[in-house]
Amino acid sequence: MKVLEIEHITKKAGRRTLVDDMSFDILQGDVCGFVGPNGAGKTTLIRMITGLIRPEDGNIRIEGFDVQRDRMKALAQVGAIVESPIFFPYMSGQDNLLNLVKLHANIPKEQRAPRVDEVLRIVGLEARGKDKVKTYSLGMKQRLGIAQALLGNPKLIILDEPANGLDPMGIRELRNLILELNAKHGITFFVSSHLLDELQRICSRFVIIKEGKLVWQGTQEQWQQIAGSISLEDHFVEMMTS
Amino acid sequence: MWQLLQSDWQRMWKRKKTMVSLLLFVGIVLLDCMFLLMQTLGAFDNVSTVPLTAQNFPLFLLKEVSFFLVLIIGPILMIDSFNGEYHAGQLRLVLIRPVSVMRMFAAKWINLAFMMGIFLLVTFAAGEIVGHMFKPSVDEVVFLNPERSYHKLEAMMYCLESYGLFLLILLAQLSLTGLVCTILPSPIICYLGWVAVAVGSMYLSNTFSFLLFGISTIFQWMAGSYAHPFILPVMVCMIPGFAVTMWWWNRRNWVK
Amino acid sequence: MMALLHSEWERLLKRKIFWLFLAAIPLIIVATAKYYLGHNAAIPMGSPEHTTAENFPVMAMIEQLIIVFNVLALILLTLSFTEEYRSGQLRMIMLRAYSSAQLFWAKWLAFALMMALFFIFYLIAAVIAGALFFKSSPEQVLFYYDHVVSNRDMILYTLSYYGMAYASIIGMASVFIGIGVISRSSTAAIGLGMGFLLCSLGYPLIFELSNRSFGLGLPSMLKYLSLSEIQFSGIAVMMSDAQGLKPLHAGTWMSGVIAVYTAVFMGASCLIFTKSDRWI
Repeated sequence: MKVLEIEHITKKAGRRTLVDDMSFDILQGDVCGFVGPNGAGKTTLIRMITGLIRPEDGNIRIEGFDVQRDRMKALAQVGAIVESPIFFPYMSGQDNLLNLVKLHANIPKEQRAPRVDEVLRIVGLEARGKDKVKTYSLGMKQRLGIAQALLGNPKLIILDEPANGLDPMGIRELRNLILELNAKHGITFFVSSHLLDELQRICSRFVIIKEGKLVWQGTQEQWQQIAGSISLEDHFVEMMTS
Repeated sequence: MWQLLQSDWQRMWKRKKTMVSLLLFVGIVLLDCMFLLMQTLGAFDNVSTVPLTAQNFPLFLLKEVSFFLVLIIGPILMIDSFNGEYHAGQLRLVLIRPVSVMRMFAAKWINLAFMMGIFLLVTFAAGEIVGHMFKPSVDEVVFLNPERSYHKLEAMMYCLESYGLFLLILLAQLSLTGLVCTILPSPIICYLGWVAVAVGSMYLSNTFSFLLFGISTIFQWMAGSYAHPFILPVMVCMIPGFAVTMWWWNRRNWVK
Repeated sequence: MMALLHSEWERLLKRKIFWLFLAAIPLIIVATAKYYLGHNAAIPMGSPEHTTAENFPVMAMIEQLIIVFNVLALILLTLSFTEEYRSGQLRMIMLRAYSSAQLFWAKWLAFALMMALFFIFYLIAAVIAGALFFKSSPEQVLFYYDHVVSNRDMILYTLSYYGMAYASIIGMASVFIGIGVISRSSTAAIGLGMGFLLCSLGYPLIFELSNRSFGLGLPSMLKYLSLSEIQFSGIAVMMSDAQGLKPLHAGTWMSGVIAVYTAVFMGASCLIFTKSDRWI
């Protein structure tokens, strides 16, 4: 069952091609790592998946719904952090979520507050929910970012460089959170990062891009096979420099 | 749609600026009331004056506060909502949800329109109360046109109609500011853009002087002595301005 | 210090708004000329309000000083003092080996230079537009003058007018800098700055009204405590050559007002800018 389908996506900015004829699928239950060096087009693709920018060419479907044509239905299936999670700093974490949960039509009015409490509990922020977001540390903001992504009971969660700026404890918490949500709730994850080490511990599949083009995709085992005796990191560097 | 309105309305009020603007505005209204109470005549322009009474007090109060609304409070609240949230990257949280971008823009527009209505309502209420408390109430009052006099109730309707027209001008400004905020990058540049539009359009044609000098336009229009078209250009700024911006929001790339 | 000034100057130049405004100056001048051409039809030749090729630069400054130049100063200063500071861009500079006082004055100097550049460009554009759009006149009638002046004296008058206009902008800028330094966000800085401008515009009205209705008998020069009033009518009064206005010492009074504004607000702003913690 395909959760996300990327079909021949091309995006240009002026004369520069940011994403070039990219195609791949993500299956239900995957935790998929999206790897590529800085400036390879990872954030650009994520922006297109979340409907923030339009591709020049190609289609993106989420749970079968086209993001361009069926924007609302498609986005109802996704939760995302695009770049760093920026919140409304003048509100508390809980108020931020209460404000945003209104925008999910699938959550009835009386369930909004319980849903917010639930996601706060999932990410372990229930104790600090009432504090203003501007008092949060980076790690807490990142967790609140995941909380807001969870709000609408999405089938797919997209995380853009979620480990950026986190300390080792924060990274470990994040990892456990992703694995737990994947195992318990069956949520599919699409995680962009350049921290290969980290991805290796959580991802079953990988999509590797370079300069806007798809370079390789497959399962972790397949990658390990072609890498042979060298580590994935070394192999990745080889792919990027060859 | 209702949820979008609610969510945007809530964010608007959680921004400190909104409450501070409202409080400052109330302060300005009261100061202007005091300023008017020191006078015995109300001036429509440099030449025409009439005695200040309880019946025309709200109208002259609107004249005093209009610049604050058009040049400061209006643009700041509008720019914060149309450009500030997006510029700071906060709007992304809304954009990635299953909501229609067109409706989101409409929600912002409606909320701001409502907000402008509140500011005008505060002014009108203060004008009525202070006017009746401290200024003589008369049975008949004239406005800019000396040949036409109005009874008490008619005078109140006259003032209300003027307030309504001023709200229309603010709505035209709202649509134009929305467009400016879509074209220009940052809040500061947007503010400059709005001033440039308001001042520049006046040099282009006197028809657009209502954007900056709305109150004198209304004085003359209500007296039947306004020399330029008024309602049509206001509507042209307001409705197509709204539609174009809404369409643009639906098509644009959100890169912040 | 020179290096710091250079870096500030460079950053101001890199801003689109600088080029935008530079490009807008000819447009503003043409729009102003168009306005005065229409105006001339209703004004007789001998009035100081009648625009000629020679007095157009002064008339164009009178028309645009209050809105265009004040708002531009407010925007530039908000960008330089509030936006750069609050968005953390200034951290890149603060980390270098300069004191914050040096940084403050470099910012101010870069602004003052840029404004001077705008004034010069505006003057040149106005001189050209004056020659293109208006009829020349052998001698000029000025506001608050008992006699006409020759075109040679008009040049001197124009230059002094621009000089005083520039000084008034520097005075206004010191208030905007104060506002910019204390504001948490750029919209707040702009709102407060515009509020100050509107209050300055409103003050002379209130002053004259209360003077009249309460019979206070205060000297009329007190209305020039407002910087915008100096910009509106004060500069012409200051440079007047009419016997009746001599005893007012308008020039000394208004220069004093501008100097006090500048000294007080620059002093306070510099203190706040250098002494506050940098939570950015």
